[in-house]
Amino acid sequence: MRPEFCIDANPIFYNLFDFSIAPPLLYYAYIPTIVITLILSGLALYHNSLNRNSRYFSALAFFLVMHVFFVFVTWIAAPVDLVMFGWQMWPLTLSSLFLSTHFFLYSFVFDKKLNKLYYYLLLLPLLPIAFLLPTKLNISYFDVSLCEGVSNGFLTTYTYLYAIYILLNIIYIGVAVTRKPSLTTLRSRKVWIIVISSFLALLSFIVTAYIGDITGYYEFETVGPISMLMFIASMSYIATDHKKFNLKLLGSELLVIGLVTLVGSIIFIRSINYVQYIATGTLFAITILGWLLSRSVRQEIEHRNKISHLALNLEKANTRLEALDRQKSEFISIASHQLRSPLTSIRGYASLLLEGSYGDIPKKALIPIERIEKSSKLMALAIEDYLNVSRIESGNMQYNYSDFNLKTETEHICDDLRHDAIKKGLVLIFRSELNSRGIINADIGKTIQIIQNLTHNAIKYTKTGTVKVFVRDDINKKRIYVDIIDTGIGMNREALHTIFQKFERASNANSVNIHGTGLGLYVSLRMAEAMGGTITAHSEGDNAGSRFTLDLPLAL
Amino acid sequence: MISYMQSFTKFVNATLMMFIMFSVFATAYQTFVAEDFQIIFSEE
Repeated sequence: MRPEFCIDANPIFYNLFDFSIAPPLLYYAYIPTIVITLILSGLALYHNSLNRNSRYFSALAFFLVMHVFFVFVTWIAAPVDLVMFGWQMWPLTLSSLFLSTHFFLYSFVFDKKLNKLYYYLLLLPLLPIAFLLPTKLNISYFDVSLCEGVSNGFLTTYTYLYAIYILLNIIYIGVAVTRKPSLTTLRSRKVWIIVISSFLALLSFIVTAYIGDITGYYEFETVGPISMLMFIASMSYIATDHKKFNLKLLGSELLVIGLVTLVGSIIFIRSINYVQYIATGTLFAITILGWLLSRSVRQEIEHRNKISHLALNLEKANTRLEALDRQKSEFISIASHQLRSPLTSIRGYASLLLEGSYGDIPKKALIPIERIEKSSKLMALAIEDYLNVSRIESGNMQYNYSDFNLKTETEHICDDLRHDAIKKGLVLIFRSELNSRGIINADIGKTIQIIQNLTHNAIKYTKTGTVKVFVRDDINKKRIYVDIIDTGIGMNREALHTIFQKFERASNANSVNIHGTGLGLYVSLRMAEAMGGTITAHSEGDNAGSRFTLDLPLAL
Repeated sequence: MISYMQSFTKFVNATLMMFIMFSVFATAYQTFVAEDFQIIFSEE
């Protein structure tokens, strides 16, 4: 008749905490391993359930828990059925643990999935283990007097071979890491910690199990899961400051508290010296681990403080810069006003002289006076630009909105500027293609200034060819566009990005020897933006002409 | 073709998992229900 309980077991309490059956090491090593692994994998899944690394890590944790649990059961449990089941599960849980550890390491180190061939090369050899699990090739019979399964060694040997096969593949990962120069120092240190610690942990699993097998002292096997603690500890160290797991302070604190409580409590459970020595040793190890963890957290907090300090300084500097900028604008405004008034009289008297209000002028003096008039005109324009910039920057630019016809105004501008174009031998063409009446609500003076500026630029920067001004609209989008297309010097990609900035001119602008402050486009864009529009520039490159488009909202 | 390959891979994976699960259940059945395990008492 089959006995219900192992002969040497105490059936009353199912023996879960009977120190007389199993080595006391078991209680100490296995329970924390299971608890910590469950906490860690739970946190990893909770924080990042879709991440491949998190999922592989959870699989690893699941098989570790299963394996440790079944080993625990075979040592502790009293019912024969349960012990037998745990004994039979050993090959499958061990090989699954090895396989999932490899998958996790591969995914963690290379940050990619295994290719199909490699995946099946690792997975398929696992199948015979599953296939032979319920057969006599696993456990031939069960010795009740010792509460041990007796195997004929085939599946055990196969499992060892499979484990070694996986270990060799982990070594391959380690070798591949050394040949991968792209890893950063910090990341490569972490990769090394995790590869080496998992390799050592798995190695100790099979070495202790093998020693247990050949000597018959299965107590050796209980050391395996302790080494697994090392792996779990290194995992948690990485988890605390590695983005991949996204586990923060909470996880590490929970871990340290859990470890200290669990291990510390063992000291008070029983006064067996053996337990106390090991527990004290581990407490020491965990204190170091806890210190490392809190140090990394402290470093993080220090970094954060430093950054917030820097941000504060930056804010102060910014306020100061803003004040300086305002002062500069005010200065320019005042200076420009001061410059403008005398300039007005210079221009006035120069044109009066030219008109002959002061009698005939000697031919010799005519040219210099003409130059004075022209230069003072240019200077007045430049001062006007500076004044506009300072008005825009100080927010004092006034806009008087009214409804007007953009098409008519643009046509007038073209008529005014055609004279300049003809003087340079250019053709200035005006076209319009409107589906609406072309009425907009904007500041008429500013809009004219923008179009004048863009068209004037087109004439300035074109040596030969044509300048086309084209007014079109899009009723659906309620926008009206003025395209100014020339066949001039064009500009390259870099210039396209910078021409709308203050004091920026295209690099080839000087090649045509034209005066300019580099403020026209900046002022135009700011004014267009203030009126709910924008200006875009397009060019195929140097000497390929350019197209500027003023885009304004249509008043329907 | 790619989606066919992906679903094929999923099918193979699912089959493998089912097979492993089945072997676990078979072991559990044989241990807990069928009780056709050979039990010995060593001399000790």
